[in-house]
Amino acid sequence: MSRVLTVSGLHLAAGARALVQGVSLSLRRGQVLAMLGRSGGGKSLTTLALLDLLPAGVSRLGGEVSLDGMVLDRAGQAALRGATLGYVQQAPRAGFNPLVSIGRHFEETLAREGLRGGAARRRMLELLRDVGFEAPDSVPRLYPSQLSGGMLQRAMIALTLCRNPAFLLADEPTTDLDLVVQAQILDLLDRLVAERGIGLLLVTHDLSVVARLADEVAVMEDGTIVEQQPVRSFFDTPRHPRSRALLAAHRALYES
Amino acid sequence: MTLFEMHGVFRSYRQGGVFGRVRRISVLEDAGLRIEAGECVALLGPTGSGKSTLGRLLLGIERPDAGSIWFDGQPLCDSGGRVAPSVRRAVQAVFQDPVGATSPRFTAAEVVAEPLRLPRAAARDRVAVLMADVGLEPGLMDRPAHRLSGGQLQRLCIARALASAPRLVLLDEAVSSLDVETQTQVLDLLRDLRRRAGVAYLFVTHDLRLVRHFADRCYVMQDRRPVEVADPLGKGPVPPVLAALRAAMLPAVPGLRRAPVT
Repeated sequence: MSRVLTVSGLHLAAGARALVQGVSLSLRRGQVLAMLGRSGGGKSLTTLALLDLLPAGVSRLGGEVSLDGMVLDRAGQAALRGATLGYVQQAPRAGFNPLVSIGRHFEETLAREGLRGGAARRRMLELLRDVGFEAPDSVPRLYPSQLSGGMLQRAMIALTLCRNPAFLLADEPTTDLDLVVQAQILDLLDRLVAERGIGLLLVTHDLSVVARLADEVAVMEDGTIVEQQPVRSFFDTPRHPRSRALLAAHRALYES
Repeated sequence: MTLFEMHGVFRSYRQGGVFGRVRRISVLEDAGLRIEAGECVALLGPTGSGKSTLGRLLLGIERPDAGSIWFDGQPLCDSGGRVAPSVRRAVQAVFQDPVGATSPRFTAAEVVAEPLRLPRAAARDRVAVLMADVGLEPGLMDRPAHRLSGGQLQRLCIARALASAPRLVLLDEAVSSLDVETQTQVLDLLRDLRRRAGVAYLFVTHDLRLVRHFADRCYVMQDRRPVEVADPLGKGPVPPVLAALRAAMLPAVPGLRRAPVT
């Protein structure tokens, strides 16, 4: 199984406006890399560039994505998408077809792995149980509108796990959820990293999420990475003024 | 003086119908809440606990099935369910999603001017003052509203809520979707506006951390009604819902390494 996903020298632009400039990152199996920064800093675009799913109007001017040192072309990236690279987005509701039951979503995805019928159903129930549904039998016949935001986000993660990806890219996976559900989702991600050795890229602006889950932190500002450190030393001795400001605002929330 | 009060309020919603059996989902049962003039009251609770329903009742855009709601010593709605225009102006709201709460076809100035009902030139001057109050530069006035950043747009929504000189503002998860620095700035701004204008807030949130420095009193939604809690983060006994929210609070700094593979 693949070990390291790397992006180096990534440059993205919309017309004449540079959006991401010279970003390099490595994502290792069994590790959580948090990408931190304000909205509009280029975090999500970097994630999308890894998947080769850039929105229309944004073009890649430079940089390469490689897996275990092998540089990937566009076809190579397309082959990884879904299979080796899972993607979990902020708003799970947008990722489901509202007219199709949850079970059908799984059937389609599992068919890509060659699983059909009873085998597919067993695998689906196993995954749903894995992500914390206590009665998975009742879930497949439900439609997305019948699930709450937290349940949908868990179903989305289960769907991503169908193809057993080596890496998971999670873009603000808990930002829209309440604290109790957020804690459940983070526990789940933590377990996936520990048990399955998934490499997790966690995009967030919330330092408490970083504190809960990350091994390493990269801070992004205006399209560049201004600081990258292991999580402990980041919290102890942030180097960049932006990081210090973020940490000061974060600490103020916890002071009594 | 008590500005807002509700007693024994019940509210339920219909679910199903058309093809299925009609069920009634009870959201509020015997709910009571009190807000003094100039006070900031927090309302905590997880998703689906009826916080927003309570907010909508406070705004008068929904009516209770039973119970009474009072604003400034008078019933909030008349017998026909209408809210008096002066009360409408006095009770305003800021919601979680500023993009959904503003028209993409409006400029920043038009968003704030809409509730003002003033001649164009006079409105523009007033808008400039309101925008300055929330720390937005006058240069942003003619920018399309949706070209502002999330934090700027939320401030614009606050300016709009303050345009009619309200006495009570409902803040329904108003800072939840902002990043932590912007959140701090907006909370500082709200605190400052409260000191200057004497507005009261109902601060609806699921984020316990925000309550500590911001609210005077705190209610928690427990079993479909708000329960007052003296010290939400103190040592004393708390309702089970609040205990669950407290348990879900994330650590401030990285803890021990994750548990080894089992």
